[in-house]
Amino acid sequence: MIRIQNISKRFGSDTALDNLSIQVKKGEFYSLLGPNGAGKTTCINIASGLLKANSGELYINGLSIKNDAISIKKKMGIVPQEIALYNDLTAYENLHFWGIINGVKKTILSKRIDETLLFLDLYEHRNKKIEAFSGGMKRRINIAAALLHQPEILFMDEPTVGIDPQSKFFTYEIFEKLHQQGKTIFYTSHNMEEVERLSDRIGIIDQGKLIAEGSMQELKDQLSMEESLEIKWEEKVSEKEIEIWLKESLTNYQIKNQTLLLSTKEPTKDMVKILQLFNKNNIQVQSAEVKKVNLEMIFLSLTGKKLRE
Amino acid sequence: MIKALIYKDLLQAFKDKKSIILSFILPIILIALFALVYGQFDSGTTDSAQNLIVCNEDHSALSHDLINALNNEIGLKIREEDQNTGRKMVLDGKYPALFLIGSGFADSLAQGKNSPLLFLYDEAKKLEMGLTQQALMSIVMPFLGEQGGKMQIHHFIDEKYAYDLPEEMINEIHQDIDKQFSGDNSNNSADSGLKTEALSVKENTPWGLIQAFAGTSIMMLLFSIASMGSALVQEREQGTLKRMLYSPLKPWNIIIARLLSSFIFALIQMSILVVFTFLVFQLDIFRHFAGFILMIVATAFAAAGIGIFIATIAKSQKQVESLSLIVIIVMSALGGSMIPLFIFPDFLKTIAHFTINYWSIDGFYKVLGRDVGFLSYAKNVGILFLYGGTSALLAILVFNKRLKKDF
Repeated sequence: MIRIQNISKRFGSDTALDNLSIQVKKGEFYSLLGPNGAGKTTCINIASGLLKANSGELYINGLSIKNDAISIKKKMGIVPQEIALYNDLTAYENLHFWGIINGVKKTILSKRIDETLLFLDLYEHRNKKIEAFSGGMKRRINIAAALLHQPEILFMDEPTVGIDPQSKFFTYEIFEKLHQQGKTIFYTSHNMEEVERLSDRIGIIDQGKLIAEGSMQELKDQLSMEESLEIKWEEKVSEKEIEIWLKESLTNYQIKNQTLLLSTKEPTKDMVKILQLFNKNNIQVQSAEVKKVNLEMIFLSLTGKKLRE
Repeated sequence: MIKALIYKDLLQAFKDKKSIILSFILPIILIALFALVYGQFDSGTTDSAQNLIVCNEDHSALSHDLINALNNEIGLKIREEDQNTGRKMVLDGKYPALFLIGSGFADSLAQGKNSPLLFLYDEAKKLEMGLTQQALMSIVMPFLGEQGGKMQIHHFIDEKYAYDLPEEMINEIHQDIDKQFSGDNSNNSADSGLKTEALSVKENTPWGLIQAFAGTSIMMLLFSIASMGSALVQEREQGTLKRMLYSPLKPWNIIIARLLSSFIFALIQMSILVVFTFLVFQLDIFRHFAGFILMIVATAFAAAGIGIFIATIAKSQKQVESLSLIVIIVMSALGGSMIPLFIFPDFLKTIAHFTINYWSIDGFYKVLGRDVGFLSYAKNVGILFLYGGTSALLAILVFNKRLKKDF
């Protein structure tokens, strides 16, 4: 459905996208994860025909963005990173405008607006000016404006930036419903939790290059990443004492700040084993935790830096 | 503490481009402009020669001498025409005044009678007439004083002694008289008999009101259009422009729509001003109603074009405000909305032709106060449409170029 093929984009001497290739299947929720300035928005701007790539091709449903931009635009809805709405107009007036701009016929537009507002739980606020809306409500109207023409493909550029956790979870539910409706979603974010929760597949982008791609499990497998255990014991027992009897039973562990860290493919089994060891040696455990591999770890492992740096 | 506050306030003031332009650049431009306009009067040497039509119906050597003298006056630009053409040119506003040397001028001067001289001026240019009349009188009065006195004495000598004295002696007397009058006789003067009349298609045409309506409404129109245009920059800043570009719209659609919305707003604004001036001051808008409507449409279109062009070249809201302020004030000052054009030096009069204020005010004078045909104001309408169209075209080009840089 979306085929980005060897796209490169330069702004002067800066390379925003470097030979980027991505394929998104029909009905798939694909997330492009990367830090600020990684090239996520540039990728959406090229896909929308707003920017021209220096090289490479981009196809949507087999149509080239270079030759069939207008036909492609009619099939896609884009939720920009900014809240691109008119504050001095009501929610209804805003949606009416964006509906017309995106080619919705006037005869069905009013009904379509009402349906969209109901879907986003904003119907009762339809006649309020946007300036009176909370951050979360503005974000939802921002999404609504991209849904009015019922696009097959949705490009969402960090659509949850700056909203409170409660609104965020409600917004996730909306995205999940859209996904269930069969929409193809291309999502960009630097929020790992939402990407993990929502995506079928994830692409990790850094400095304009796609450095890894796949489902969460595929990414873990690609990097041979394991879960980790963290066990903290009572302070009166020294790290040296622990290490004496621990090294006879375990490998691939670290001890740091009275805490045992262990990477493992069988976290439950290893946890039981370690707790039994501590019990046998009469050492009281203060806390024990299984740390699952998350995108942050994967990103850290791939780039050597934290996502929010 | 106070020092830090003062430093911070000044730092902010000097970083605010709008404040810099309003406080320093705009006053400098206006002082320079006004100095050029009014400064010429201080030095007494005005660069601004006044146009004058001269109709010579006497065709005597004396009337030709008078025209030569007028031609030598640097404060006047003379054009010779017959009376009918001259009158029409004044009534049409092409020339501000006409000086008629009537038939029998030389004879009446010789006989010491009042000369058949007539000064006709465009009633719409009363203020301007002061300068033209001053330049004209500075030539006519000494000329009449010198030539009239001389001719009267010649005439007296011929009548009284031609039959009693030998011809050589009479000739010698005439030569002495000529010699006597050939010196600096600029102080000689005579009762010129010069009559002055105002020319107007209709009595009591409210030229002041027309100037107030045309000059002010165009200036205010430019202000409101600039603010409409600045909304484009606001769209860019708040991301709605980008969102529009994501849609199937073409970039030029956005500019054309903005141009047309500004144009409609301008039409509404002009209509309200027209209704107000009509109801409260009884401005006669029906003299050339079709022409008047055309002028309103053309002016609104030109102003909308300028507004959209400024909005596309500006990078930020502050920049568009500063830029439009400069353009509007300078264009209004140069184009006749703030200062009457006749007192401008010639080069500024030429520059005035590049402003929409000039063409608009001139056009409104024609359709509201003169008896002119379509062709007379068609030029104004055409130029205003051309102005608006060219500005819009440039706006589209600049907008497309900027898009590549902005996103």
